[in-house]
Amino acid sequence: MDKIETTNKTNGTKSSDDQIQSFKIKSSLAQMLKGGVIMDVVTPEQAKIAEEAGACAVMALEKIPADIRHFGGVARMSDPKMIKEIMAAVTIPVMAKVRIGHFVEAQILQNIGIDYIDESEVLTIADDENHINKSKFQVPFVCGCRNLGEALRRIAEGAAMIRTKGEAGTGNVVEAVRHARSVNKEIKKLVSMDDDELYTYAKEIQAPLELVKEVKRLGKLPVVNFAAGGVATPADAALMMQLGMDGVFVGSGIFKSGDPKKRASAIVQAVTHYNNPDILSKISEDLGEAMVGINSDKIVEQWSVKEKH
Amino acid sequence: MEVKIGILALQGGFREHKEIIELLAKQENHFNKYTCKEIKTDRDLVEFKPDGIILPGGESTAMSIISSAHTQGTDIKNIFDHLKEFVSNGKPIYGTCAGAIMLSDQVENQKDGGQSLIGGLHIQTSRNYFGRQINSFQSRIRLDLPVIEKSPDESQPSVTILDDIDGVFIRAPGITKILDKSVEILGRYQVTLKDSTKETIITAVKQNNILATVFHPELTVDTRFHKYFIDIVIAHKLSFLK
Repeated sequence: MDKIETTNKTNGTKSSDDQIQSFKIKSSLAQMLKGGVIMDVVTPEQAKIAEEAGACAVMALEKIPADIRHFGGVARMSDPKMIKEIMAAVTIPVMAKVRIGHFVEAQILQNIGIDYIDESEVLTIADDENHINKSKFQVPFVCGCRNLGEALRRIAEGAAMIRTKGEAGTGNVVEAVRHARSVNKEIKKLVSMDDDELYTYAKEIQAPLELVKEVKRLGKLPVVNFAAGGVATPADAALMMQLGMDGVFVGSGIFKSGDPKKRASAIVQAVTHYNNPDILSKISEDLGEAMVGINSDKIVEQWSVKEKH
Repeated sequence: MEVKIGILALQGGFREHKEIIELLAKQENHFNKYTCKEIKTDRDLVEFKPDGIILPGGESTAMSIISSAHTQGTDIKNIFDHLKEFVSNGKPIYGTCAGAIMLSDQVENQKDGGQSLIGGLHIQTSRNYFGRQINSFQSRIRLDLPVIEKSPDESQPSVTILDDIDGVFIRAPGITKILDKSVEILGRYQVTLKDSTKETIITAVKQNNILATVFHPELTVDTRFHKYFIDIVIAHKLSFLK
């Protein structure tokens, strides 16, 4: 566990028996998840349904977001035993959620060998001042964001993948669209800026200058960016892909619907063929009941705005 | 000459391969023009008529399921069937990681119920051979690439040695058996496994016009291995003109 390397742009300076665990290794797994769907599952059986439907990874949790909303109370990391059972049931990567700032939950998940950790606003916040220092971990993290500044703050803390926050457990895609559009808009604005303006802009969006410069150079985020929070139909998934997202998380949308198998498979197809209306029309037919859904202005608590930093 | 490279784009890291081919296209300014297209359906394949195909990394289970799902109940042909035909016609194809699994004749550690493969490459691979993400690694590796256009001059070397390849292994498969002598081993690497034993693994193989690597050259800025694949594609195309 002593081989954490912070940078390794030093091609060729390592002897050949030196195996490096680095940020590159963490962000690379996310690159392999692109064009795919990551599904929330609560049992090994659901994990198998997700794998059979073509999911590129699953998110293991005790309660899906819609039920967390329904039952209330403090939402925490799931039982490691249950997560291990899901890891044993499927061959695809398994992710799990920890509370924001709860680095011990993250240590536990790293210890059981989880493939990715979601430091998630869906659970109750454990530290309302600080996020987890994710660069201290070997396991990669994904974090939610509403805008470019928030995305870059998470990346600065070591997140190797970013997702929109959306509004999980609602079945309403409006917030995810808002967050995706705002990141896109801010990147476009940044790319068109004069280099002299970057110092003030970095301060304005409260992001590290180095990352702001890198985004300007790349014209996109330096890590993979998925859509999450409110995706319920194949059309929702394709919408997020056409807005430039690299892939899609689906939580309550699948196993809260009438025919989870069919819907899961249709959403996977929609993410691959997001630009093909022929296929999209065909797979959208006869999917049974979608999750009922809640309008996000009617919900008691908006999760996407609960983080202060 | 126009060289057309199709990249299977069902799921995974296909954009990275496209970027490397586009980088090579910029460097090429003499006789050859490289074009590159994402292949998602049988129709894309029939229309584009690629000279060579790249199968990217990602989840092989997801790709094999996506390849067939929208064709059910229609007369649309599964894209894997087209790819099988492509391989059996001896056309150049290159698979990285999940792509290498899909090309293998035999695969260990499949999901419950198995998964459909393209096959044609006479090797056995084992999925997630090194363990989970925590066992992913990056290391400098060496490849010995047989020269494609052999010169009649015996003094010319018959292999090109690349000893500074940045090998990125992400939940990588292992090549556990070579099933036929037509398969050439291009690289080996001594790795420390999760139980701290050391083992020499095969990192890349070639069987006529088929290439497979368990690492990801497309995740680096090094274009040399992709150039090697394009050399194979060009040689194959020229062999029909002679």
